[in-house]
Amino acid sequence: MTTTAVTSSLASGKRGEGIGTMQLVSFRLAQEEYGIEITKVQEIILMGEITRIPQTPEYIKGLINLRSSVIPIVDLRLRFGLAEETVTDETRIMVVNTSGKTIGIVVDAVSEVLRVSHEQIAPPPPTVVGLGRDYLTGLVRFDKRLLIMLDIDKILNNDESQILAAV
Amino acid sequence: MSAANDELLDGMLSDFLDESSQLVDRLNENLLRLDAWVGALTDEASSECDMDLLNEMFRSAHSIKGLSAMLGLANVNTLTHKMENVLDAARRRELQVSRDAVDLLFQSLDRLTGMFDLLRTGGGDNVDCGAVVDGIQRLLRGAGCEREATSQADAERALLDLAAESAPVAAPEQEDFFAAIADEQDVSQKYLAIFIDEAQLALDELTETLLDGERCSSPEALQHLMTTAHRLKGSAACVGLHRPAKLAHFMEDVLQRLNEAQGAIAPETADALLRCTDALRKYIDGWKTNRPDSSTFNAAAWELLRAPKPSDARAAPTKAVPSKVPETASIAKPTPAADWRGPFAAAMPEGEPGYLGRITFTPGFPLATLKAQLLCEKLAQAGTLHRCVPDAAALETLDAVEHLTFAVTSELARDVLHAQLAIVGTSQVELEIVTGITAPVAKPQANSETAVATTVKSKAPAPPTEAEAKATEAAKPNETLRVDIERLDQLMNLAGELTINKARFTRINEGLKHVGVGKQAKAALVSTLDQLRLLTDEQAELRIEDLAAFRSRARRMAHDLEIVSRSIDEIASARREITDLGEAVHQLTRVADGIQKSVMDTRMVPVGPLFTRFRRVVRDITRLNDKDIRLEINGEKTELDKRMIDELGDPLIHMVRNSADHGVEHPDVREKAGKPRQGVITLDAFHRGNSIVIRVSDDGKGLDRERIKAKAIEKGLITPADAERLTPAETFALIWAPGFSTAEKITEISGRGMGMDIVKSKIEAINGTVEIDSEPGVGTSISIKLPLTLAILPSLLARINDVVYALPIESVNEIINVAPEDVTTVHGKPATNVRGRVISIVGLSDLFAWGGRRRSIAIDRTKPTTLVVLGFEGRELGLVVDYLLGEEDVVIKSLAENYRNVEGLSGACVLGDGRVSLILDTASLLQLSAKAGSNPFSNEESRS
Repeated sequence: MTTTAVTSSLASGKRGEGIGTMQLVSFRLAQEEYGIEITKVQEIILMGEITRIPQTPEYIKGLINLRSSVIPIVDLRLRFGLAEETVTDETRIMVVNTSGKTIGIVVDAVSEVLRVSHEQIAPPPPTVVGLGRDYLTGLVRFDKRLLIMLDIDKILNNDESQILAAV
Repeated sequence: MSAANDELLDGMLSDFLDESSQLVDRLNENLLRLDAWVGALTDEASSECDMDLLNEMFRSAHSIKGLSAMLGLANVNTLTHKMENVLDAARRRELQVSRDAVDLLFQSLDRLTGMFDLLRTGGGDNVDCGAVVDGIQRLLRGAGCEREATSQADAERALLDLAAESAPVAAPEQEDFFAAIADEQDVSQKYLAIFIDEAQLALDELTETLLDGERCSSPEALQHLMTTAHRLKGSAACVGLHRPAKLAHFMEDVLQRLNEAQGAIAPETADALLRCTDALRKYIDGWKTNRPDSSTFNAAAWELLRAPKPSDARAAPTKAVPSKVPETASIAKPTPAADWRGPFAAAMPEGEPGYLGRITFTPGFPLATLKAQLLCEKLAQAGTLHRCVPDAAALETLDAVEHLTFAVTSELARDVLHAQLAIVGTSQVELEIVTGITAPVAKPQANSETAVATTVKSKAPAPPTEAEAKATEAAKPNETLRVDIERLDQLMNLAGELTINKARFTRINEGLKHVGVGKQAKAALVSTLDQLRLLTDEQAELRIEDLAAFRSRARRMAHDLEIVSRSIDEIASARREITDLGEAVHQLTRVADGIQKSVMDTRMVPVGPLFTRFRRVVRDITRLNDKDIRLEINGEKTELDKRMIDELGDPLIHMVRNSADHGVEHPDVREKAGKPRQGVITLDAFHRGNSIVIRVSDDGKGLDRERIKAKAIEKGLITPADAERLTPAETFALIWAPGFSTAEKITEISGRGMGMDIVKSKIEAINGTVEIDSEPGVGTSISIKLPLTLAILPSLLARINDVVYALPIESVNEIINVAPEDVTTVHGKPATNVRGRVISIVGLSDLFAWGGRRRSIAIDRTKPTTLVVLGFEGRELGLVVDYLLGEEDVVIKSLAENYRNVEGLSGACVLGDGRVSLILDTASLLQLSAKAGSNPFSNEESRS
C-alpha cells in the first residue's frame, strides 16, 4: 500500500460517501484488525530512521522528519501494552491528524480501505469498556472479519494522563 | 453564511484592533506632548497650544470612533466620541486645555486600551467608563461647549434638537428625504457582493481623504472626493439600491458645489461628510447580514445640508456683490442656495443682462434627467446658455439629477423665464438677475480679507511647483501590506531550512575541492608511458625469444596506462565542473542569506513605539509618588522580531516600574546624596554580537545586597552560611526567585513581590536571558539579552552516546578535555577543576530517562573526557560528549506543535542529512541535574 493509493481512494471516498456509510483504513496489529476513519489519515509511509526522545513513555518511539516538520511516532503495540515486534517489510507508519496535531503510528501492516455502513458498527463489548480504553469506539462486522474501530484523537490525549502517572 | 460572517467580523475586528491600537499609541504620544505643554504653562502666559497637535489627536479619536461604529462597538464608540468632543472643543479654542482635561484624556485612553485588550481575548468592549464619560461631560459643560450627548444615536437626536432650535425656519423641512425612496426588493447576490466591495473601497477612500485635513482642501482632493462619491452613487443605483444612491448623491452634490466654488472643505462639512460615510458603512455592513439599515441616512443628509456652505464660511462673497439682487422665485431656503452662484456669475459675459438660476428637482421624481435636458433646451432657446451644470452631455449619462444650475443671458423678463422653467417635477426654481459686468471683478474686491486669502490659497496649488510635487511625493507613506504573522513564521522556517541546506551544499563543495589530480601526477604518468613505449620499441630490434613475452606484456601495460591517462583527463575536465559547482554554491549561499535576511527584516520592527509607551508609565508613577524622573530613550531605531516586541511589553513595564518606584529616590533624598533632584531612567537598545540587548537602568540607590541576603535567608532560599559565600552576581540573581521582594512598603505600582520572577520567565520564553548589575548609591541596570530571531539557533552539534544533539552556542562557555587524573569527586559525584572553578561532570544518561527507565552510562575513566561547559545565569555544568561535530545554524521546531514540550529539550531540528536532532535546553538541564543530585553549584545542596 502506498501513499498514492490511499490518497486516490480518499478522493473517491469523498465523492462517493453516502449517508450512513463511512470509510475506514484497516490495519493489522498483533493478529487483530483495526480501523481508523479515513478522514483522519494523512498518508502512509515506510519506517525510517527515528530519533529517540527522552523523558517520554516507552510507546513514544521518537521523532521523524516528515518533509521538514517534526512529528512524534507512537508505537501502537506498546501503546496497547502488547509485545514489541521487530520491523518487517510490512511495517508502516500511518500519519494521522488528530486534534490539530500530526502524529505517526507504527502498525504491523496496512490492509485496505473499507466502506462500512453505520449498521455494521456495534458498540464495544463491556469488558473492553471497563478497561477505560475509551479510544476503542466500536466493533465492525465485515464479511466474516471483526474490525476494532479506534478513535485516534483519544490516543494522544490519554497519553498526557499516563505521563503524569509515570512521573 | 453565519460562519462566513463571523469570520468576516473577526477579520474586521482584528484589523480594527490593529489600526486602533496604533491610533491609541499615537494619541498617547501626543497626549504626553500636550501634557508637557500644559505642565510648562504658567498662569499669565496665554501661549497658543499647538493646533497641529490637537488636530491630529482629534483625527485619531475620530478615526477610532468611526471604526468602532462600523463594528458596533458601542462602548468604544461612546468613549472616543467623548474624547473627540473634548479635542474638538480644544482645537476650536472653546476649551482651555487644562491638567484635568489631559488627565481625563489619559484615563479615557486607559479605558480604551482596556477595551481593546478585552476584545482581543474575545470578550466584548464592556469596560466601565462611566466615570470618565461623566468627567468629560462636566468638563465640557464647564467650558460651555457641550455639544453632543453620549452616544451616536443620542448625538443624532441632539443634532436634530439643535437644528430645531437654531434654525426654526429649517425645522419644518425636516422631512425624510428617503421616505419616498425604496431599495429594489430582489437584488442579485452576485452584484450585491460587488457593490459591497466597491462601496467599501470607495468609503475607505472618502474617509481617508476627508480625514487628511490638509490635503482635503486641494482641488485635486475635492475632485477625487467628488468622483468617489459619484462612483459610489453609480454602483448603488446600478444594483437598485436607491437609498444609498441618494445619500451618495447628496454627498456628491455638496462636493460638486464646493468644487465649483473652488472653496475648501470646512471642518463642519468634512464632519458631515464623514457622518454620511458612517451611515453608508452601517448600511453596507447591514447587508452582510441581509439587514441593511438606512435609518441614519436622513440625519446624515440633513447634517450635510446644514453644514456651512463655502460661501458662508468664506465671509459670504456673494452677499457682498453689490450688483447682485438676491431675488429668488420661490420661498427659498435661507442658506443652501448662496454658494452656487460664484462660478456662474463669472461665466456671464460682461455688460449683458442675464440670469443665474438653479432648478431643484423633486427628489425621486422619475426621469428627472430627461426633464433637465428639456430645461437645458428651453434655456438655450430663451437666450445664450453660458454655463450649465450638469451640462446636456453629462445629463445623458447621469442616472439622477437634483439640481440644474445655469448662467444664461436672455432678453426675457424674469417671471416669463421662471414660468417657462417651472415644469412638473421641479420643486424650486431660483432665478437671479445679474449684469455680468460687475460680478467677477467686484467679487474679490468686495470680499473680506479671509476670502481673498482663500482665493489665493485655493488658486495657488493649481500649478504646483516642482518642489511641492516632490514634497507631496515624499509625504506619501510607504505602501504596506498586512500579512498574517503565521505566514511570516512559516516563511521564516522555510528560509531557515534553506540556510541549512545551503550549509550542506557548502560542505559538499568543500569536500569536492580535494578531488582531482595534480598536474605532477599526470606528468609522471605521461613520462612513464613514454619510457615504456620507448622500451618496447627498442626491444623490437633484438630478436631474443624471451623478449617477445616481455614486449607483449609491456605493450599491455602501456595500453592500461593509456586508459588511466584518459580517465585522468576526464577527471581533470570534471574538475572544471566542480569549480562551476563551487560558483553555483557560492551564488546559492548569497541568495539564501539574502532571503533569510529579508524574511527576518520583514518581521523586524523598531523598539521605539514600545519604548515610548513607558513615558506614560513613568509620568503616572511620578504623579503618584512625587518623584521627579526623566525617561531617556536610546536606540529606539534598533529592530527586533515582532513576536519579541509583543512579549517584551509586560516584563519591561515591571522593570521600569521597579526602577521608578524603588530605584530612584525621592528628590530630597537625592539632593542630600549630592545627586541632581531629577532622577533618570534610561531605556537602551543595542546590538551586541549575535544578540540584541535591551537595558533598563536608573541612577537610583542601587540594590542593597545585605537586604537581599537577609530577605533570602528569611524566605528560606539560602542559609546564612551560603550568604557569606555569595558573589554580588549571585546575590542579585536571588531577586528572580518567586515571591521575592525587598520593598518595605507595598505601593500601588509595584512591590507585590511577584514581578521579577514573571519578568524572568517571560524573557526566558523568548530565549532571552536577564542580567542585573547594581552599584549602591549609583544605580541599577538590568539587561535583557535576546537572540536576533526566534527561529534560528546557532548551535554546536555534539555526539553524545551515539546520538547527535544540538547545544545552543549561546550557553556554551567553553570546551575542555579532562585527563582521567584530573577527575575528582565532590560528595561522590564526578567533578573537575577548571582554572579554580569546580565543574561537575554530568552525563546525559544521568539526566534523561529513556522510555521511563534511566540507564546511567559510566564515564570511561581511562581516556580523556571531552566536556562542553554549559552555563546559565552563573551556574555551570560540564556535559560529557563523545565528540564534537562543529557549529551549525539550526531551525528550531517546537515539540509542542505535534506533541508536547519535553523537559530538558528546547525543541528539535532537522539536520542537513534529513535526520531529526534534539536541541538541549541548558536551563532545564541544570534543573534536571539538580534533581538528579549531581549538583554543580555550591549553594544548591542547601537549597534542595
